[in-house]
Amino acid sequence: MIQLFHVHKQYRGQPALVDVNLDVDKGEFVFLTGASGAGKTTLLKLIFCAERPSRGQILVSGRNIARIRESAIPYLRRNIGVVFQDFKLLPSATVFDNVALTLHVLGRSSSEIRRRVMAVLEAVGLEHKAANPPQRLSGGEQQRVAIARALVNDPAILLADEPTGNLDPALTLDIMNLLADVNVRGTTVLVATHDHSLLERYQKRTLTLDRGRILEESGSASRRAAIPDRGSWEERR
Amino acid sequence: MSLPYVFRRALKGMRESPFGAAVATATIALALFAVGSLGAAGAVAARALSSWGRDLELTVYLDDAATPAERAEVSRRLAALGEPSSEAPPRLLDKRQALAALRQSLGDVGPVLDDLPENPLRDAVVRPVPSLDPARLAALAGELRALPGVADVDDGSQWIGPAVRLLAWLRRAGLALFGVVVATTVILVSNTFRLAVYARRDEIGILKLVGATDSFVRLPFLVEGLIEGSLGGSFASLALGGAWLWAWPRAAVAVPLLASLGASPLPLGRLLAGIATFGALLGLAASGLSVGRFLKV
Repeated sequence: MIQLFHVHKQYRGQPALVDVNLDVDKGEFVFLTGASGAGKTTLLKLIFCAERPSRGQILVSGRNIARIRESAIPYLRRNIGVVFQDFKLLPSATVFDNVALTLHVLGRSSSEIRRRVMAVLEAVGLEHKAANPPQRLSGGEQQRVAIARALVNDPAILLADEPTGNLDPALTLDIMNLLADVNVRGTTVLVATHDHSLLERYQKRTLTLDRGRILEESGSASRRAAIPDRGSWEERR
Repeated sequence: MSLPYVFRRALKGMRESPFGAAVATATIALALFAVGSLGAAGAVAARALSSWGRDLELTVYLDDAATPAERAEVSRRLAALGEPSSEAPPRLLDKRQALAALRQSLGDVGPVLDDLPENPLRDAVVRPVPSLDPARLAALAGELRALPGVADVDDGSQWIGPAVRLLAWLRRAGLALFGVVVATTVILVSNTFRLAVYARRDEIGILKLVGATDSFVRLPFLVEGLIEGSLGGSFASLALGGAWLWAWPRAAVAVPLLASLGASPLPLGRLLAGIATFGALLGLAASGLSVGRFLKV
């Protein structure tokens, strides 16, 4: 699903990633961990084309995105959901509209948008708060909205960059359980975190980065043997 | 991409940033009012001068000793000028008729001419010359002066020449001013839009994140520019139309030359529609210039 071959990334001559090789199978759940500045966020940015590698090849769903045309990037991103630590929600829009944004981009009809948004909000437990603005929600709820937005068009891959960084321990588990549930339903999930308690609790494949290099890999045995068929959120209701 | 969604987003953008929308609209309205006033004044001046030029006559004064053949040759040369001679053929102005006309034009003091020992005027051949090209008139006058039997030629270019040059200068200055005003407006409005776009850079980033193409992100901003430009252009049109209806009758009374242009010397409807359309295009251009830099996410 995601393959990196000898990927290097430099910012103004400073190495952010050094000779990274990675192979993530379809339906896997992978933690990326390491200290701040280790390269976790850079790695995720390379996968959703917010950055280009300085060297090396990146294949996503068999497509080499290291050499993808600028005009093709939006279409790649439509198959990748992204969640951030700071949620990145529109404060002036309702929960419903925030989630619907993805489907508007895809040009879906109003009725389909309504159906799919309500289905995914129900899946994250926020269907009753669809009309609220995000500021009226707790941090955990806002992150659920961000996850709903990332999942509403059923992407094959979900990238989460420190998704629990702003949350207290109870909400952290809440969000991580949601991500694990998404993964169980067949979506490939990559989570960047420096919270070691999560790594211990969830026992998933973990890649530890240090100064741009993958230092060690653990939990490989947890790779999924069988991938469930991914249905839409409506089908999973 | 659904058009209603694009319009909803554009209107939402205006609602969320009403001050920016108002500033952009007002800037476009003021600039177009200035440009429109300038254009209207220039068009009226050009029409007035053109009208004056149409009344201009080329007068060839003949020697008293000019033979009938020489007189006929002068008439033939004037008739062959190529201008609409069928509408305005050369006419001979007898010096007795000229003196009588002068006497009449002098009113109460006219009878003083009766004391002249002899008529000081000359026979003349007169032809209207609607052309405003002073260089051509001067050359023609030179040719006519060289003809036998011709005493003098009055081509009126000593009056019309400076006026044409002034108009040409005003036209160049007007075009330069037009360019400056348009460029300044584009920069001002573009900066206003840039502030509005900057305020919404997070939204642009999120849209790009979920797979929006540049055109999807750009289109609502362009529509917003189009709406604000159309509003600004319409306000400018209304103000200019009102100002024209108020000022023209007064100007026509104050300046007799303008009165000859009639009650409606300008295609006002077309001018105002042009200003409104130009406003829309201006808004479109200014918003298009300001969005590009925020698309790289």
